[in-house]
Amino acid sequence: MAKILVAEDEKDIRELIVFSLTFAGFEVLMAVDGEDAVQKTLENQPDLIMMDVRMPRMTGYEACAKIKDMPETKDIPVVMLSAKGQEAEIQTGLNAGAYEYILKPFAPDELIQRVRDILGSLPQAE
Amino acid sequence: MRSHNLEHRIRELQTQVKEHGERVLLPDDQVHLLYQIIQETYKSFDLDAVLNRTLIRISHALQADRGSILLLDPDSGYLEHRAAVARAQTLPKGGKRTHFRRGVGLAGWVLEHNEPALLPSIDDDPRWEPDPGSPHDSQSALALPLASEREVLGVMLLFHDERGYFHQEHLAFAEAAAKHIVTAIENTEMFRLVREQADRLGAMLRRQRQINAQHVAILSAIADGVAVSDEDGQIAVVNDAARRILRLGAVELDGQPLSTLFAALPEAEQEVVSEALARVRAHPRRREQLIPLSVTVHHDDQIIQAAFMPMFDERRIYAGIVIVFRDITRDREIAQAKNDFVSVVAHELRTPMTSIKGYTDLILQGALGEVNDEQRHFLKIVKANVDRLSELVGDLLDTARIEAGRIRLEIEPIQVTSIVGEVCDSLAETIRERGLELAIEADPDVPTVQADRNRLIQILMNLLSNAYRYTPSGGSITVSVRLTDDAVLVAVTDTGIGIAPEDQERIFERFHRVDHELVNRQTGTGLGLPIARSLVELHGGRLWLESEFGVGSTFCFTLPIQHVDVHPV
Repeated sequence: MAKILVAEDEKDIRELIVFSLTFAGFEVLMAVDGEDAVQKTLENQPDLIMMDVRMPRMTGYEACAKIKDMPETKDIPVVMLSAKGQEAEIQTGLNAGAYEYILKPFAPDELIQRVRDILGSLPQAE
Repeated sequence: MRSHNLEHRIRELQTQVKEHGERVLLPDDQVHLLYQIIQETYKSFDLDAVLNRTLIRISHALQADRGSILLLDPDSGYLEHRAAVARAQTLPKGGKRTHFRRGVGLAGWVLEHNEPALLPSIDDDPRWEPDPGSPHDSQSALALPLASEREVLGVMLLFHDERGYFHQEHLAFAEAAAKHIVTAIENTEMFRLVREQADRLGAMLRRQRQINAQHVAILSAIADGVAVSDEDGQIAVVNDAARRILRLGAVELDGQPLSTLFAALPEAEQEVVSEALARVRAHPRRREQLIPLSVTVHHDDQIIQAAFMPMFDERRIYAGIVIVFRDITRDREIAQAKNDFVSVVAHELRTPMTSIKGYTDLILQGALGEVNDEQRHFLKIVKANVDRLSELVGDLLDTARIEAGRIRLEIEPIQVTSIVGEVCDSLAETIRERGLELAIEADPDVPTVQADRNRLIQILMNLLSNAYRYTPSGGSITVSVRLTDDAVLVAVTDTGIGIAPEDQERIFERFHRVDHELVNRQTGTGLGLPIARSLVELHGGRLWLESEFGVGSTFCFTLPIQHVDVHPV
């Protein structure tokens, strides 16, 4: 079963995503800020990362760029989650190496469908 | 110029008089007297004074006991007593009306016949008729016309207490003098005309100065900069505000080419302005086709709006350009602050909305166990309202971005017909559920346009959701795609409630919702149409409405086939 890291500082939303993904049968890890996300990624090598943009200590963009910078984590797809939807910001996320950009508010079943689509489209890991 | 003519004429007349005096061959002392009289006639332009002084000199020279000068008032036809020697009462200024006129009395006879009369005994002459206004005991009289080349202006009368006093010599002298009196009268008249003309011109000049002073005061009092050029493109008027806004200091601008106004602007901005000027000048020079042209230029942190308007004279001939400058830096800052605020608020709303929507969805999906029908119904209400809130937040963000000019179109070649098909498919179920028919009518060979796919979907979604919201069950919605000369025309027609003429332009104002029972029952932000219109305009197209109240509405928009690059970020 795929392992997903959820990096989100807002507890309510973090739990919502964690619950939805767990309910859909995924193995879920949590991070509460950008630094934590980089740390957990290195330690656990998740299959996919859901990353909030606005987080304390290190923004989602910075964390994403950092993950994409390290050879051992650079191939893990990062999906940005944000309430901001401006073109320029989406572009910033994609420039940082994000795979996709999901806009808040989202419906949990949509989110799970997107996760399944992304995982399905990836070349199968060993 | 007129006073110059007058001087010239006076000199000419003086010469004539001299020659005349020499020809008459009067005795030496009489010649001297005549010169005195002539001098008298040139001393003043006060006709009464001239006539009186001259008459005194003549009476004295001829040793007459009394004398009068009567001038014809051309309006009334009566002779007026203007000068008198030895009259019982002094005459008022401007003379006194007599009862004599053409053919009445001795003066009337002279006036009528334009010839002198020598009366040795006035009482025996039928032409004599005393003036009840100035009775006297004269026995003999000499009367002669004061005639110019064209007309008789008046009559001079001289009296003596002795019968048979006046002779031909007296008459010759009086006639010589009379010619100079006529000249004096004509000169005075000419002077009067010149003075009247001068007064009129003076009054006009004063009025003109007053109007100019008003214009200057208005121009210096207003905060906007104003510049006016003449038809040759030279600066005619510039106010202080324009100098300040354009940072021109005390540079001399009058008569300079208009481009001088923009000399302080950065070069690229100068080009923007020259282009606008060229467009105004190239404009068909007919008043009916006028569209004011406005451009915005940046100068460091300053933002200046310049509006250009060609001027036409009363014959509708191009007469120059009026330019109004406004420093909109502060306005922009305020708008920016407002838009930033809206963005922040909208963004902050999305986080709690994500929680509400997400958890509601989870419960509805049965992730926490079975949900009964009533719970499901209530949860759906929560969900519908979060969706509505989410739509509002999205519209608010779009509005703020459009206002700030921060929307960037992702232009690509688009098949409008296929996008229309996609949008209709996605809404087909909702529309069918509402008991409405949906049809697409598309021309076969509609070419691709340059457009932003997502924005086009947003525009169509807005128009179609309005169409189904405001069309009662049983009606129909038709989306047509047509090719016009230079654009693809999309029309969304419904058989809905229609829009009254007074609301037709207002529905494009933000938050405006028509007051109608069916409208009030529907959700809607009142932002969809203004956003759709702005998005169409960003594509270089137009969005408008054709509607008849109670019959239905058609919203049309165009997308130009040649995409114009209208809005750089």
